Amino acid sequence: MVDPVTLGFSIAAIIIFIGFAGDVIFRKTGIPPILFLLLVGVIIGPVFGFVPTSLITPLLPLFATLTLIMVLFYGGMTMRIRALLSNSGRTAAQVSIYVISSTVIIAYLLSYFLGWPLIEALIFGSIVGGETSGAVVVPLAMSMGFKESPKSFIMLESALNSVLTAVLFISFVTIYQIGTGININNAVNSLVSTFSTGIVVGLVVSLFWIFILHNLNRHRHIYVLTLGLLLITYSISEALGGSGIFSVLIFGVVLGNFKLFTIIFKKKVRILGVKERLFEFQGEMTFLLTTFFFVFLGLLFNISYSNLMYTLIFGGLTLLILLGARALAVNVSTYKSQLSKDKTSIFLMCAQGVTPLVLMSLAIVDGVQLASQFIPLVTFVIISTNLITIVGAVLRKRGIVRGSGVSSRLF
Amino acid sequence: MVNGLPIMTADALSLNYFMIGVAAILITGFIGRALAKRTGITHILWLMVLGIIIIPVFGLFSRGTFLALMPDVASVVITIVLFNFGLGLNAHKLIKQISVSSLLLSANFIASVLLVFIVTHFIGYNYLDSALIGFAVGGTSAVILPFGSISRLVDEKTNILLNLEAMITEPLSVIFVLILIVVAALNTTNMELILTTIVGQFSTAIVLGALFGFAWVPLMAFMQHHKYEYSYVSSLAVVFILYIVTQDIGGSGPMAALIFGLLIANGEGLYHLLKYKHNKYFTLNRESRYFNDLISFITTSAFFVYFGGLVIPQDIYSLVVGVAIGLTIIIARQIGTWTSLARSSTPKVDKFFLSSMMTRGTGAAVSAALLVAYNVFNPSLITVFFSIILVTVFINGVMFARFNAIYKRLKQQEPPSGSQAQ
Repeated sequence: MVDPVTLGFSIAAIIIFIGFAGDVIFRKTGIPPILFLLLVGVIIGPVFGFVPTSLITPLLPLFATLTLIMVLFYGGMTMRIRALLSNSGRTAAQVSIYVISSTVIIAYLLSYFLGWPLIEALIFGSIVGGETSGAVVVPLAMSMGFKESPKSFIMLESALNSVLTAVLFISFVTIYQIGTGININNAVNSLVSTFSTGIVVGLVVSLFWIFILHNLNRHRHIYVLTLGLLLITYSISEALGGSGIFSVLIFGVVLGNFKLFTIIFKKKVRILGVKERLFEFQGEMTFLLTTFFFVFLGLLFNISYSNLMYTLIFGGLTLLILLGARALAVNVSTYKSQLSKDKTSIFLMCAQGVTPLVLMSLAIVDGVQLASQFIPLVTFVIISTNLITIVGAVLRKRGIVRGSGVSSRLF
Repeated sequence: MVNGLPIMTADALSLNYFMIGVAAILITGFIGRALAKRTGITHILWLMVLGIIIIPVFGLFSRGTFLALMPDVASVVITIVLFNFGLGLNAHKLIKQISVSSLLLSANFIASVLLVFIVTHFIGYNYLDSALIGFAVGGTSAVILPFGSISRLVDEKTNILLNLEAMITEPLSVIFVLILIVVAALNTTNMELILTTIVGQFSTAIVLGALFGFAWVPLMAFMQHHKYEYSYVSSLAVVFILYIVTQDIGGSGPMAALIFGLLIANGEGLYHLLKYKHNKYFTLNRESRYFNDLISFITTSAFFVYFGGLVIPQDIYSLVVGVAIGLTIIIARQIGTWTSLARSSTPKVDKFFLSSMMTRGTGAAVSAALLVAYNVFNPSLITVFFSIILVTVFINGVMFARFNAIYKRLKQQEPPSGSQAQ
């Protein structure tokens, strides 16, 4: 009998090696490592049972959030403010159309076909409606040769839609628990306040940190200190009612564009060397965390034969609605802009991950009666959207997909 | 018709009162500024005195009716005042010069707030009320600015310090008051709730103000470029819309107006930094600034007359409390100025000049109106603040006259130029 610690270390080592090998294969063939890592998760979890899912599930929200923080910080450091600002209006349009239309349509159709009460159908709709996982799409966007503009569009979309789905989810659950009508005013207030607090906290902390880094740039362990501050930023923002992940993204953006802010504040700040070291370390950490995250996603693949038909039919229906809503949103948001050249690739970057998992577990905790019926559908949507994104990445790498050609046939 | 004269209907009487009111505001505004120019005493004081004459003395209007208007008046005035504060903040100048003045600003602001807090708490106000009064009178009014330019006796550097102080501390004191009003309104000791509410409200205001500002600056530039008349009026309309939208969403409307004004005033620099190519000038033109001055004239005239009208001259206790706070401000000013400039190369006579610039004005009056409008204090606070403004204006004037006398004597004692060469 193998000792659990030894088994754990062995599995972890294998995962790391596969992740590295996957990265090498991706550079040669264009097939993202996500596919291999998901397969590993399926093999060691549902198939051979080396890692019981019940052991991982409670840790998943924490691990998933940590991965998201790392990924968004890393992604934020590569974004240029100009591209971010110029795309912000279109991203807002994309997020609003995708999230709201998919949530509402999914809710109404499943309520009709499955007989679910509308409010619970809306809760389900908000769980799967319109999220794109930063942990998946951000590393892919960075490695797929996107130009600055579509890259920041995809990154900003993943940060915004997670917050919007979370706000919708909380609003619907509150209605479910209290039994009152939808208060749109409160939902809008909550959304604006969440985003605004996230932006302000991220901005204040990052500006403070730039000037601290200037004074500490010769010290060792600066990266660890920055990591600590990153987690504090997330915590402070969440504690103050803001969006922690948005704060982290802003933190990364400000650090990555520190030269602009030093011009604004007319202060010479020498942190270029420090920033490069941070960027290098952050890249390694992000690689490690995303490798494990994709394996954990594979562990969730738990579709039993008894509900196979239910999962395939209604999971498939949900997926179709998501793709339809995404097509509409992408067409509208990229209309008459440079982004339209990459609209097929943007459309295919629909992988879901952290947020549906977290919201689904919250639905169970909050006592939503039908929550257990959500699980196979949510799992199906996560896996299938990831597969679609993987296919999109491969097609793009091989030059089959960009914006014209395939896109005109797709849309 | 009665005796050949038309009978006045209720509507006609209301219209008459409205017209008389408007005429009164414009005439008193003019008179206040004319008296200020003649006497060197700030127009704020003259307007408040005229207000006292109109209501408490002659009883031309009902004080109760005036008081009932307080919430609406306070909201409109604070929005326009903070918008103007934002318009007056030159970010480029501020950032360039802040390091020079930060010690003086912070020392004077902190000394004023702390000492007033201690004195008011000693008088009998609780901690929160003392803090509110402390912050409300913490900022030095922009009415001190003419002293610097009139005198031409002080260093250019000293003038810069004065400008920055007026630019920053007055809006800062109003912002702190707005924050503490939220604390007072929540009426709880739950720190998490307080922090979450304050941060949420002010973050919403900052982001919305910035978004509106970013969107409005190019539109405004377009209108100015194509010489559409009265384009400033549309900017003012946007301020009011922004206020309503922000308040509705749960943010701080006045704060949003400040940020909006700040962005409009610095739009050119901002878009230049973001490398946004444009061929239209992105800052308020001369015509717009002229209209802005006109709107400020009407608003401040009406407000200070209104403010004066709410003063109760017979309320001796409030007047004495105001005098005590005013004297505290004077002492705080001396401590703040002399300690912060102790090791600086500023000439002694300039230090004396700076230590005499202590007038409280618009910021303090507007803060007092807000505190009464939100029912944090009863209306006797107006009398207290009138007294504070009166004392600080008076002492400021006396010390400035003393400064003039000292400077002339010093000049007379200097050897004539060229005598040393011989």
